[in-house]
Amino acid sequence: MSQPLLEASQLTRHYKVRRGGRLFGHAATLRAVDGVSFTLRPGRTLGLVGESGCGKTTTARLVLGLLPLTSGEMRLDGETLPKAGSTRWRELRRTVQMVYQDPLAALDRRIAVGRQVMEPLAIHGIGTSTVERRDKAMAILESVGLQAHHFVRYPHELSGGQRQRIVLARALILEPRLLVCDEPISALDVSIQAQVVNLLLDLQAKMGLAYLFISHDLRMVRQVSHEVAVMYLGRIVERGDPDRLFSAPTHPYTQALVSAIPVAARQRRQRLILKGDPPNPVNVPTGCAFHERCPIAVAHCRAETPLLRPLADGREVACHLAAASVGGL
Amino acid sequence: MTAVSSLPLQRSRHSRFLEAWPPLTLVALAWVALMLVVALGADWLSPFHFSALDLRARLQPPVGFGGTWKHALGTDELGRDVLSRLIVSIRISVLIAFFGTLIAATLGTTLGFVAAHFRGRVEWLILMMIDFQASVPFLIVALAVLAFFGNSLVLFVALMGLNSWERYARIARGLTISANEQGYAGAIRQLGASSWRVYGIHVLPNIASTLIVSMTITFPETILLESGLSFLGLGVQPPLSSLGNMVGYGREYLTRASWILLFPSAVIILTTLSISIIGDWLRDRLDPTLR
Repeated sequence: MSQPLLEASQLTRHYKVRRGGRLFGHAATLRAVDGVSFTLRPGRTLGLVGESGCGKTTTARLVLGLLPLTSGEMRLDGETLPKAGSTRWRELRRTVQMVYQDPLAALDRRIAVGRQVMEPLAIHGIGTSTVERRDKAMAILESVGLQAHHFVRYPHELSGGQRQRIVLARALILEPRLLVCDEPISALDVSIQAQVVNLLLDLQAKMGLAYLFISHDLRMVRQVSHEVAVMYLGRIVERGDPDRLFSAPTHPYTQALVSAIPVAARQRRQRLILKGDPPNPVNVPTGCAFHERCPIAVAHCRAETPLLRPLADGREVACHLAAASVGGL
Repeated sequence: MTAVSSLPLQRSRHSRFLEAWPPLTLVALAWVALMLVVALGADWLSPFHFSALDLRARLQPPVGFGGTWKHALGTDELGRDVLSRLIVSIRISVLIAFFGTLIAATLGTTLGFVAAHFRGRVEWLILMMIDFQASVPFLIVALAVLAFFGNSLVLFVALMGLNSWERYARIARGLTISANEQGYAGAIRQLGASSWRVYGIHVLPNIASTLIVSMTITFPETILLESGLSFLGLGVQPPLSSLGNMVGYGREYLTRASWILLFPSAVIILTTLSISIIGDWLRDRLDPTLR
């Protein structure tokens, strides 16, 4: 097996907040990301799913080094990620790039898209002449399926899918090895979603890119990922092969997520509808964070926090009951 | 064939020209250009020295109201030629308003960027300065400064530059923070760009339209503030004259010799209006999404 490209171990990101909103409200800690570990190898895709506010985007920002870690360690090619804004961090942007949820917001409205695609080259001093950079930008535009005449257009003159391709082209012109995709398709039409996902898959095959693919569209995640991690309240609750994970989820939260995937078939299927909202990450329940909404919780769940434990089929799950039931088989 | 097809093409070219350069904007641009020419060429354009007295021709009305072409816009109570004084006043007022606005915009925008970039204590300090500036009547500050340090044109221009910087600082800070948090500035920074590049190439052009519109508001304000201070005797000192200075002293002859006051007033109104129109036009023109 190849050397891991990205090693994240026990990433945590806590925020100091004041509860009560008053001047003398007591200080509290918001655990946005609380001990997330994963590794990513070149050419592989890790899908990160979970409901809103579970820490997916914070994880992405930690991976990019845009947020400082509260604790834990991030290694890129075995090198600890330096502080954001430092010279070394800027150099490492050539290795890690990002694709955004809203491509219109991520592009400068006043600059023709071609020049924006060329800009990373100027930032990193790649290529000497403008002509050389332009040629490179043209080539990359072509590889994401755009034509030369798009070069002089402004972002607002392009469609959503074309804009997302521009954002992709801008990221890819640096020839990164890891692309963090934060909800790259959720702002796009369904027909364009498929185009962009297919493009991502093609590029991965061609350039050997690794993706950290964040989405709440479980079917898309299943399609693109080699491995899926389900997050709940800043922790990974289940991780493993996407097909196995989605066909036979073991964690009750994953079961609820999977049962929420819409299906075209008319057959009535048991839907697991969770009660209540996810708990406030400032005030995480004791024991298993999910026990308040869990349909099968027992007293033990309230007392002890389950750790991520491997199952017989290679999956990992953080649930006392799931581990027991599968372990007993 | 070519003759037939060239006609609609020409018409569309004509209408396209009018769309890019609306007539009102052309008039405004022409007026501002005239003001600049007057300001630069004041020495050659004025028929008399601005403080030359002609005591036998005091309070002479302008041409068309019983005056002569010798003093085309009449004379004031000391027999000084109003046209010559107007030309010199335009030079002084344009100088003060232009550099005052420029200083305010540069200072305010820079402080706004600094606040948005460093956040934390630096931002507190700048916000405190902004609140201070906004809560203390500037006229009082100006009075204090001029009373302590005496009056010179350089000091006066610098003081005008301190007038409304807090507006630019607020705009620049707010827009920069929103651009940094999520969106294009964050994306560019993520590409590995230095802060100079982010602010200079991306943020500044994007917020420039707001700043330019703000400048077109402060420019007339600076002229009016200068007028107010000159009127109180703390601005431009006689015998040197500015537009506000002329209005202030002409007030005493409002009923008998209204031309002393009306001409500089008209210049103030037309100049400020022209600049507002140009500001509007520039904002639309600078924004590619509105093209």
